[in-house]
Amino acid sequence: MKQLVVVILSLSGFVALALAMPKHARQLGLECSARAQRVLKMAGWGLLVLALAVGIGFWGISSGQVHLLGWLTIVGVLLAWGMSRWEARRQASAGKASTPKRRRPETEPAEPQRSRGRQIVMALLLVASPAVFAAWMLQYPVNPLLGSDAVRGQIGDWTFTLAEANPDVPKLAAMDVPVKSYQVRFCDGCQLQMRQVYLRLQKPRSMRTVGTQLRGRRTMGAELAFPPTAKAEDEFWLTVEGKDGKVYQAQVPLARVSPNTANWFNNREE
Amino acid sequence: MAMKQGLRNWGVRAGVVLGLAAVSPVTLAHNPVAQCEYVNDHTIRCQGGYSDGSLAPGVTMDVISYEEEILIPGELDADSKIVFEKPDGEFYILFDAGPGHVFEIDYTGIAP
Repeated sequence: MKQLVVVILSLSGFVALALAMPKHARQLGLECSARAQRVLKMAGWGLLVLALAVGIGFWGISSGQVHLLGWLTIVGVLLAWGMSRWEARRQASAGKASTPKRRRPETEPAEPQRSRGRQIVMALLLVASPAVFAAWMLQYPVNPLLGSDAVRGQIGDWTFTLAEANPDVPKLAAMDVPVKSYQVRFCDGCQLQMRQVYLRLQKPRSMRTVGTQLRGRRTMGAELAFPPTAKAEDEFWLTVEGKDGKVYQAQVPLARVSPNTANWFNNREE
Repeated sequence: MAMKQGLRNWGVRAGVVLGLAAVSPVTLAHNPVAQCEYVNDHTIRCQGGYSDGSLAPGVTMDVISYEEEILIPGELDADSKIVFEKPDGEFYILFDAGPGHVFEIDYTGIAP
């Protein structure tokens, strides 16, 4: 249903923009006054902006943009095809109805040659686009939180999933401090009951040292900087400050979440 | 005229792309990081900064005992460094750039 709303808004926006352009309006068999064109142009852009706002409202700022761009691509291609076919069909039926046929003036440039070249380019683009998309999808990593390595656990009344953003060993940041990104996801709606969420390696000594604050809606994440005393046997400590004022903590061994990183620390000690 | 129109169209396209880029979620990696070393048997020098290599002059770096007593409250100098006398007993150094932005070095992790 959400998808349908975005499709309808995108399609309406594109149709309005097409009608605002004399060439495309003629393709659809319409003639619009200059004033109508201006109104249609504004309405078209307005509908596209509305589609973006609705998409962001439905799926968040990042997914909302991706959904909209995906639908705009599909709707745009379908509309371009549909309009050219519509025009061809309209001209054919008009040709049948009215005799004698309108003849192309001698001065008009020879269209067939040019349109064939254009058709080939269009066909290549149509084939290339999904091919490139498929190749990109194949090499795109699986969402870490959905992978088999993701660790599931319980903190307070909430369930969570903790995963490393990628299986690589830590990168060395400034001052040769190892850093690595992690992601956490809580049960649906549970995040609403939390004030702040922190993650660190090794047990926090106090609330001042609970670690790095995780950010994000639904999927939370942060880059952790590992202390110089980090060892393969250490544990991650997840700390949740609930809206009820209580503090909840859970531990997950580093070696379970990041086996490669645990080996890396082992090798470092040697 | 056509060229002007073309430029305008490209302007609109560039505006849309920039607009979308502006609202994209951006991950800024500015973790506080620090390192400490012994200058001599009694003196420790620490440097604090961010993971992207930027400095953090004026940011808090406290020396805290295992009993959570602040032994030496400190701030990084203009070079993003701090020098202090080694306290007795067990302690850790906390580089505190704000809640959720801390980096901790245990006294056992100080480079010799």
